Amino acid sequence: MTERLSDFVADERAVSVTVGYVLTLAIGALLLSGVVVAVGGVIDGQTQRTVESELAVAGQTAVANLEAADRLARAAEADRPGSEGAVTVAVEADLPSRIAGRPYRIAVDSDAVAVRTENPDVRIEIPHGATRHVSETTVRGGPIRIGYTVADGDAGPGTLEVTER
Amino acid sequence: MADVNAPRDLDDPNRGDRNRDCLRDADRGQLLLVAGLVMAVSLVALVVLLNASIYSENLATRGVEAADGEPLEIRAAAVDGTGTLIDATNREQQEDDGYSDAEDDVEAGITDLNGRLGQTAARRGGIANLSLTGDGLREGRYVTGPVDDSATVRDAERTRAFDLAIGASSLPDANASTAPADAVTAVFNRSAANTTHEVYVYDPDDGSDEAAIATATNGTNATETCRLDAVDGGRLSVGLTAGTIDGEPCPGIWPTELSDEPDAYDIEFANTDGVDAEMTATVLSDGSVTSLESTPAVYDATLRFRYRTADVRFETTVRVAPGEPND
Repeated sequence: MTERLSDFVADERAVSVTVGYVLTLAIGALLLSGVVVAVGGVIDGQTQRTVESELAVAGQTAVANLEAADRLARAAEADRPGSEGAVTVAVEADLPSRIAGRPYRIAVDSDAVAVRTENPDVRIEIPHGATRHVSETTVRGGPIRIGYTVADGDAGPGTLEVTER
Repeated sequence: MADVNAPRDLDDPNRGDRNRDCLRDADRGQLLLVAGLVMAVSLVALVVLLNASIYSENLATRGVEAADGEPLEIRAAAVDGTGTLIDATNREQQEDDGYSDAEDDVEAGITDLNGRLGQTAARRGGIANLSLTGDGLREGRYVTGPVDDSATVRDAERTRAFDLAIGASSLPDANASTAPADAVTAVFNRSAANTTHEVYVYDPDDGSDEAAIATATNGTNATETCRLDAVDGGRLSVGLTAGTIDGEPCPGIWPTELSDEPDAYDIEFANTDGVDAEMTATVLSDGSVTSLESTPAVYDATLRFRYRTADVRFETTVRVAPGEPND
């Protein structure tokens, strides 16, 4: 009996297979997690940069169109005889519906246009130079309409309003 | 590491079990497969993100096309065109022509201008429309001729394009304090407010310059507004409503009180004896004009302007009175 037990202890025939298998799994898992962590970090960083860049472009486009509507509003009221005739200005801007695949929101007030996404949490604020009063509002990112209306008989000035379309 | 597995025996009755073991050995490749898939998906995501980034930066460097350029351009063309049309029509009016002749000419001209602006807008994918509003055109008088002290325009409610041309050699010598007595004077008499506003034009008696302009209220405390060192062509042009002297800017000539004046005022002249001076002006007036040529004229036009493209809508009412002083 003792001889059989000592033979079993000394028997190393299956050990190499088990150890090899375990080593392969361990090294593979290590490599895999390394790849996931490294690539995940790169993608997160690139996502952040892309979202910031696209939000900035979308915000600047919104500001440019808001200021264009403001210029049109001022031109519409220049040389307008008193309160005669309605003033209608509308500028439509084709902003992207999603930024790097994520929805976003556009907040407009009398000083700036702020665009933001929640994941990742990025907020870009771009000041605008509109001289007419801008109605404070928040709309979903996407095609927008900037309107300005002064009714016939109203001396104005009116208010610039941003709406979804 | 040595392979210690028993050699495969194809004739062995337990061969099926051994094949299963071989397949189990192949499970080790799953890790590589998963790693490869993760890499592939990550790379695709990276490419999509980079593409989005490049596209947005491309948009940013491309610049935003201003939406207001074309409507403002066409509005300016409509206003300038109508102003030119009104002035040209007024200049061509003869003494025996009635106001209706001028009115008809301007209305026909605006219809023609509307067609041309519509064509220009259509070439750019837009629609433009210009039409007279209900108020349309207002009757005024086109006043022109040599100026003497008896020349007057009574009850002017508004005045535009008021120019005075004076022979530089005939300008009287004066300075700001002697201007009320000596300088060529245009007087705006607001009789309802019992106030007069004077504009003096003279040759500075210190010999330093060729022409100067001073302004005063009620003929006292005349203040020099601007000077000109040389008169181009020997004839000094003073734009009273435009605020210019020989084409150079000279702000503050036109009394701002006249723009806010609800009551009519008279235009008179003084110290013009022996001075080679002529005036032209368009006035909104029902009063008499003395010692000057006066013809019925269109004073201003009120227009409805509409412009529309796929992205822009612009509608407004604009009054065209070329050469009217700014408020």
